[in-house]
Amino acid sequence: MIGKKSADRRVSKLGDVMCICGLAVDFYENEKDENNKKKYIEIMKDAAKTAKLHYSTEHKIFMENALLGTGLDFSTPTGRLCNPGSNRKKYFLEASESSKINFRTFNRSFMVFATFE
Amino acid sequence: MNKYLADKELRKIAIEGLLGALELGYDHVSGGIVYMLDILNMPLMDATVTAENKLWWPMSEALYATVLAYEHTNDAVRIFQKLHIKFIFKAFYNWLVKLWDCIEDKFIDKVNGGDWYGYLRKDCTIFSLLKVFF
Repeated sequence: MIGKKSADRRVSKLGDVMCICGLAVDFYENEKDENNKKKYIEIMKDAAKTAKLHYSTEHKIFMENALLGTGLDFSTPTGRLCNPGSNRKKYFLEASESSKINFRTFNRSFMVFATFE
Repeated sequence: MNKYLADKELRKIAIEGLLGALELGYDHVSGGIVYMLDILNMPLMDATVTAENKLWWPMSEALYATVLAYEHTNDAVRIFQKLHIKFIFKAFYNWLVKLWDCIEDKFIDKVNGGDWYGYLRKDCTIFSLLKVFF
């Protein structure tokens, strides 16, 4: 997916954007070559820019589908779809802040959180 | 900390969008997070079994994202001591407790080893005995 041509550049799917962003974060962490690291940063930047198209400031939620030219379109069922359960915002947080989590701050659920690392 | 992007707008909408998703998607009657919905409350095009069911992975992702947000706002509280950040920080803590209580109560099979049920119905009763391993 990374570095390849996109199949459709008219519609952006949030799942694709977030998966690319998540992969770029992971690859960045494991990459030794500085030039390749820069490439992953650019991918994160591109994902961040595209993801902003998905954000509805009115509803304060990320929509699943966005038009790359004009952004959100609430006139169609596809355009109105949102998945509140798939909190892919985690990749935004990872990309914009940190990939490290201090599990100690929430001891009650430590065992569950630990499985995500 | 590993900084990747110095994008304050992204951070802002990530925090705001996470709270928005939790407030919009959490079922305050039965618990759990609705998998998908129409933002204008019109009928869903996708009427598959997953649409209104409560699935394990939205709950686990919600936990993960909320922990990140909790950490982020916790740092911000320590650094800036601003009232509105304290409010958001507290909100994420409350969501963490609520999400975990629901998982512990509805998703975890406490009798048979503690694995999670993968699929619950809309009312959070068990839909399938299929387990996921966390």
